[in-house]
Amino acid sequence: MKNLKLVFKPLVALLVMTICLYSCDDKINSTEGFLDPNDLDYTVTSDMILPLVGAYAQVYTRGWEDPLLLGVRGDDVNAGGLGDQQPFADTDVYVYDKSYWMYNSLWNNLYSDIIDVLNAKETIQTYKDFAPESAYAQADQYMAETKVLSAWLHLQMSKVWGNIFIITKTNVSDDLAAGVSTKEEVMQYISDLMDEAIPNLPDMRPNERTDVPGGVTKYTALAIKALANQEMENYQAAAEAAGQIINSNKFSLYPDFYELFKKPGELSNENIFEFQYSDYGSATGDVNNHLYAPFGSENWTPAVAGASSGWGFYEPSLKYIKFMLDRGGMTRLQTSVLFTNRGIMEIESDPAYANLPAWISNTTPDGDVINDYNRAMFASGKHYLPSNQLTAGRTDYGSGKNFIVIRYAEILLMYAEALTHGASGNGMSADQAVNMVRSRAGLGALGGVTTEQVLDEKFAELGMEWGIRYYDMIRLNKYSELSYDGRTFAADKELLPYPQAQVDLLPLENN
Amino acid sequence: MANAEQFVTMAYESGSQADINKVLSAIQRYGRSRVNPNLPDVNTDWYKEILRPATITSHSIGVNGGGESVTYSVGTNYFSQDGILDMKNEYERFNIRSNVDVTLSDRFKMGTNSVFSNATKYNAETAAWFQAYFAVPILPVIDPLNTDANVTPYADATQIGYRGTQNPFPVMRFNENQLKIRKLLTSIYAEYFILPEKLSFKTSYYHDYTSIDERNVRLPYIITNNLRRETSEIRKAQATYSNQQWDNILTFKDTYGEDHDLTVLAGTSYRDEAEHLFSATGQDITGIDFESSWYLDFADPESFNNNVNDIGRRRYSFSLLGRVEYGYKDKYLLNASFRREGDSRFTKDPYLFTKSAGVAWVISNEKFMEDNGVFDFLKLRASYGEMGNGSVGGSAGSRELTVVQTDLGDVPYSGVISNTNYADLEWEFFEEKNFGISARMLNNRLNLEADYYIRDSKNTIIPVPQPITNEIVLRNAGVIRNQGFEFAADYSQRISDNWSFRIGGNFSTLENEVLELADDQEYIDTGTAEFRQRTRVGDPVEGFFGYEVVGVYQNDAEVQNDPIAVENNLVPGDLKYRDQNGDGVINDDDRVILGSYLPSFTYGGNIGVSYKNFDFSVNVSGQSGNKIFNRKRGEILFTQDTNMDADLAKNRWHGEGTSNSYPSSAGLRKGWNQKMSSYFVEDGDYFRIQNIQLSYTIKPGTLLGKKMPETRVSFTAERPFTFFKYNGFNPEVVGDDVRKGWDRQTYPIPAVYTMGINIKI
Repeated sequence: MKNLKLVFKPLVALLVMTICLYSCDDKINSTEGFLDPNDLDYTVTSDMILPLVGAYAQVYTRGWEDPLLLGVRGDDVNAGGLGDQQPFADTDVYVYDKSYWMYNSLWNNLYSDIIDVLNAKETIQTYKDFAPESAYAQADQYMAETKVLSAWLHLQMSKVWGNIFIITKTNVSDDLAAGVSTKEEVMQYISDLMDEAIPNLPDMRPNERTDVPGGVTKYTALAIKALANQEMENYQAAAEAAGQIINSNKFSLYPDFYELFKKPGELSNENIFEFQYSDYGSATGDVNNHLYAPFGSENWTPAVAGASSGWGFYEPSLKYIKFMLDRGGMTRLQTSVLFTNRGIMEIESDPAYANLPAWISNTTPDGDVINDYNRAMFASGKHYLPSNQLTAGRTDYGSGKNFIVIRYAEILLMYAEALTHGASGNGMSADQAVNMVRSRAGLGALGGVTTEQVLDEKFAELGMEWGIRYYDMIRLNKYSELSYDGRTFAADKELLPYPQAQVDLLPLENN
Repeated sequence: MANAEQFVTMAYESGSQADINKVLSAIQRYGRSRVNPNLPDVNTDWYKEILRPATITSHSIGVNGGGESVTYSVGTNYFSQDGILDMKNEYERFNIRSNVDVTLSDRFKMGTNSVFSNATKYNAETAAWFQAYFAVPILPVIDPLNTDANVTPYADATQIGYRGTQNPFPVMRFNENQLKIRKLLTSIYAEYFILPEKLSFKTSYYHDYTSIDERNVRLPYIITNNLRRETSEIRKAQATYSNQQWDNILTFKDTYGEDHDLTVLAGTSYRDEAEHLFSATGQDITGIDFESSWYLDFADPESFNNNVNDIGRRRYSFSLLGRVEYGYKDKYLLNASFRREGDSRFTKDPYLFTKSAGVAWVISNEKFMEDNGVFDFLKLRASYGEMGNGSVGGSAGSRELTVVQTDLGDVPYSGVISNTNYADLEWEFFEEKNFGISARMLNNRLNLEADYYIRDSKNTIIPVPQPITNEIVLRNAGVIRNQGFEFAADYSQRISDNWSFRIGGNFSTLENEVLELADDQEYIDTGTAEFRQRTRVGDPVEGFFGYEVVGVYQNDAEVQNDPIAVENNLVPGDLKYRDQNGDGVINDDDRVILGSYLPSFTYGGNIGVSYKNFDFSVNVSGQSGNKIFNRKRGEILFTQDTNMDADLAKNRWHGEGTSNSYPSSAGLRKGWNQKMSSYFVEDGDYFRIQNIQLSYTIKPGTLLGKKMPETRVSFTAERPFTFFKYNGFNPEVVGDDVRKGWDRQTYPIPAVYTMGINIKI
């Protein structure tokens, strides 16, 4: 009996060990708490929209530095004074520092979004592979939307850096091996990509969409195609694409220029591409917001107490303000610029502007008082949300405000400019296009408009928006316009240097 | 930190009107100093304001005992500690431990051990440390002009023109972070001798269970437009960690013919580590004024939208192991072992087979060493070993899906995104060769240990930045060698019945070198784009990488004579970088490795003296050869609204001959001087008195004629002094995975003074 026990107990132990060995070793291959995209049920075709929404989410989520760096070099806007972010102020005067964090950040933000957008496209393709034929059209539309998003991102990249990598799939090794493409090639790629996307996109305004409210449409693609061709100075193609938008008769200028950039103008009939943000009208809960503070005044007395002020990093230039005063007309100046008393005194110190109209005031039409602050004399009005339009309980500067990216006025003026460069129009005349824009701003009609006049109109209408002015000036080599207020511009200043971190990481050479 | 005078001087010398205007605003708002009319009547030492002396209390009671078949030990301990940050910041713990071993027969033993602890902790706000570092000294703590405040009118730096509110007090006063931490560590084992004294089987099970209930309360307050929180907020988080281990070991031990000792061991070890975090955040709490209603049930239900998280991770590992030890006459010793370990975190190949072996020769047991008069014991050792490094990495082995939310037409929509690069790792493991000697001399009073080691870490896991996607992914990226010499000695002697002393010391050297990088990469960059660290074959891993400062341009002539200075529009007070390749321009190619975060030399020592019933001891430690990246100085890249360390303010360049290492105040704000360079990289050498203790033991039965138990009274000072050059608070800087050796948020390490009484009944 005792001997049996002696044998029995080790046997039990051995048995236990064997069971453990068997069951434990099995678990080594499990991963808990992760969801592999390959494990999605791709046969649920109704989920096909999820990656598309993800792509919009990524593109709408922009670093605060993105629009600032894209726009700051124009003669419409300054970096604000020194005292903070000196290399940003240096960039404004065309002194570039490739190790400055903003350059690298903009590069990373745009390229990583391109990857996210392509990832969405590839995921939608997988859904399509499993979908019934009836859903093919929808899959193709969603994928065409990602192409539009990718095209806009490539367009910004190439405007800033010129020659860049064209990225066409999430596995980037082939695209990197191909090396950088010239700016010309990138623009042609964008134009071709839009031609590919257009047949699959909804033929409506973004605000008419119900599946993805405010999402891109055929007209967004046409607009980006026109912009890419404008960059290539292929004015005929630009005019044709812009003309198609005009001839659709779907778009119109929002009557109230001031409110266009505020909450009432969100998803208006003028907006062709728009980043959407919201606090969903609730004082609590999650928000999807852009950080507008860099655009704001550092010191204000808001009409609604408690609204936060901004950082003063984006200052409309005296040149722009004086240009606008020279032209007369209050709507666009009052909308584009927030004045401080210090700024008003600075304008008045020039004898030519000693008597300013009464509506030039440090109180905005909505009653927010812009106090003097150190960095800057003016703040951007197009990026300002009056404190009385904030959702009660939300105090962040500009909380919930959308960010218009492409609007119909730009299309009209691009069309008009292309015609003045000799392109033949497929719709209205250049005069008609320009005068539509002028009439909304309360200005009289022009006749026989010249390129110069259109450029002036663009300056007045589109100032502070996305560096449109700067890229117009370098496209047309108008370096003298960019040489203002002590700055000197030259051809070698057109592009930013590749960021140091990217030169270290990629097969890139700064020229 | 710089005081108001130093700070204002820097502002005036910056050449930036904005900075000067902020000083003028401060004078206007807070009044002018009567001592120096250029200063505002404010000189806030923010650290002095936010710190407080704090107390620690600890009490223990324990009982040990038992008989032949049962031994036990039970005890309890109470510990409380106040934090040094002047907010609700404290720690209180109570624990109970018990240990029972039962010998049922000469073949069967069983035992259990458990420790339960229950703690409540109020965490300090780390943001307050950061804010106190950077808050300007010309901002007062309280600003009576903020009359709209519904709480204490704390000062707000945006009112004098700064971008942020800066004052650390609001987060200290209106944030509270409570953690309830309950831990149970328990184990049970049974050991059975299948063959008495030869073959035994032991099975043991451990469970380490931790539950943390976290409550972060954000109280509403209104002080100014920018310094306010209109909506109250509470975050609740429930984290549980359940780690289990089950070991089974079979041991055979025998001696053959008196001279041959053999031990053979085989077993398995299974681990299961699970963690689970559930958290939710709610806002606008009804009844926020009462702690009794700090529950999410009283939050606005709409506020939970996208504010609920549920995260789980589980890791399994399973090992088979074996070991053989053989000794001949206690002179020649051999051992060999193997382990095959599987770990679910290494998705590419979860299994690792490692082996190791060692030999030793106890020379002092040889005949020819008998009565040698020098060595009481002398042993030579050599070993080769492989060991998996389970402490780094972890991989999902596939892309990971994330759910995101965005706004479409003012309606929240959910979508999905996923990463495109992912970690798919195999084991990192060490391969170590070691040669050593152990000796005892002078009647065992002197002990020596010396070792030389070469440790290669293979398949080293490094975070590698991926092109275009802007993702940083862990990769098995190369071979890194650490080698060095370790030495330890101690000596003790009793001089007389009353006097005795002991003294000991140790040091080790470390040479770190990258031997190989995967896929023939030239280098791998870590750190950040602005503050680069580079791993390159032939250099130490993740060395700080940038320009070498050779001095500061002192005058116009020096600038004019240097084409580099002219080309870059430099002025006196700007840093001068070494043109490493001598091509007459400063560009990327002039960047070099500026040093490693790893110390090349570490040392320690202790000394103890006893006289009658007094004991006195001192421990010291230190290191040298490492560099610290002073990220706090790097903050100027992102904002210039901050205060700076006093050393920089005092020793800035402000005229010919004033400094050859620090730029001028204006220079600090220029991109040229903000490049990663040796200006930001400082020596991390330090020497620390780790603790000093004096104690007195009262022998039983001597005091007041009463029967008194043995009592020991002690006084201890922990970390009373640290000596270092580094311009931070604490030279013991760790950083994190991608930012090794960075100092961004470390805070002063407090010295702790303890009185202790230990009574033995």
